[in-house]
Amino acid sequence: MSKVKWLLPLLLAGLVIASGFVFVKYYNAYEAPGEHWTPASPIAHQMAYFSTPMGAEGDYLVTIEKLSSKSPLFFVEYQTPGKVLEMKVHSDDGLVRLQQQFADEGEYRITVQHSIHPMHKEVIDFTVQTPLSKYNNDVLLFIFLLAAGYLSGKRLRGLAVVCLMVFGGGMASPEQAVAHGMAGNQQVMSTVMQIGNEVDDIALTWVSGKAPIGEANREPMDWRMQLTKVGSPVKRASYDLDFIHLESGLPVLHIEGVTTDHGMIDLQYSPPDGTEYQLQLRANIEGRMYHLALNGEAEAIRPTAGRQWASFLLMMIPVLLGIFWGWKRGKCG
Amino acid sequence: MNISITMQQGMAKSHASTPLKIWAERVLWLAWIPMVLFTVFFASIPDVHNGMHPVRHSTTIVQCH
Repeated sequence: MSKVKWLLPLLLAGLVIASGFVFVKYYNAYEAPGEHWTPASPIAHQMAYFSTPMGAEGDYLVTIEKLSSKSPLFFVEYQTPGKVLEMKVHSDDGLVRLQQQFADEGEYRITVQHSIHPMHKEVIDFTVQTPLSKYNNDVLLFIFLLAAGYLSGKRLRGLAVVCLMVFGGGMASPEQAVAHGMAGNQQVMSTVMQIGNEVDDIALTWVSGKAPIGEANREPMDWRMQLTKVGSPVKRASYDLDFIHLESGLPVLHIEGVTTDHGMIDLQYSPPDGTEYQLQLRANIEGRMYHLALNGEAEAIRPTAGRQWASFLLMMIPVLLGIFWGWKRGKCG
Repeated sequence: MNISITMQQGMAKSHASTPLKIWAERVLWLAWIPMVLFTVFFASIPDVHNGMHPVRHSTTIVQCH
């Protein structure tokens, strides 16, 4: 017995080191760059960087689709499976690059296909992960609910109030989700200044004639734009496009491309949040850099009654367990 | 002050004699957690929604928008 006691610190040290190895693999997926994405598995609500060597200069059709969502009981499905993004990316050095922020976790597929040689393509499957802070908050929430239930069961008035305060404080911790007000119901407060869609004789317009209409995280919306100079299309102009989330001022998508022979910028995209966006374009036309922008908006999807009941009943499980436990322990107040 | 003391006495009396109050207290003890959960996570009152928005986004199980 005494021998075991003496060995215990060593065993614990070994256990901690061994668990370190297990967690390294886990944390690497969040931190370390992968073969195509950085981080190897993009984290929802954070910018992820993609690059893949295609070996040839040219225009590439890039498609991102969601293959499946995580378990619907424990993870809210914001983006439904299906196409998320379809757009042309231009590469001068044979590397196709993209920056994109995903709305939620799940299995995704990115396809990069040469616009002239369709057989020259690459299909990459990847996972988008849940931010670690959300798991922490889930665990905290369930612990607090259990504690609140227990104290209610025991009818300990004072402690239950303290618990409520701790619960409120703990859950109000800042997190990384794309936070915003009631999009569509009120004007978005933004520090982003207006950029016009016309500079001198260069104009950026919607191909369909107006800003797209649609819901965030559903079917890709038609964000196609056309670059014209005195009415005629600006062909083969290289550009940078930033899809700016106006409430945060941060991009959710960044693309480098070249306009088509019709002066078009092809973009079918399902934005990750229901709010206002500004599509900022920096185009190089005949040696001069033009800054142009168009504004658009995606409608916020509303929580469904089914989802709300599922969440509520899930939360009530630890509460009821706590109440039962506290009640069994007897009244103390 | 006099009224307050009178009220306290009255309350103490009713506490001792009325099972209704005990029942009300029990209901409150059962209801306060669902009420808090509803307010924090599900109420669609604009001001409450805006105030609680990051909290609603902070877990994996609550749908916001």
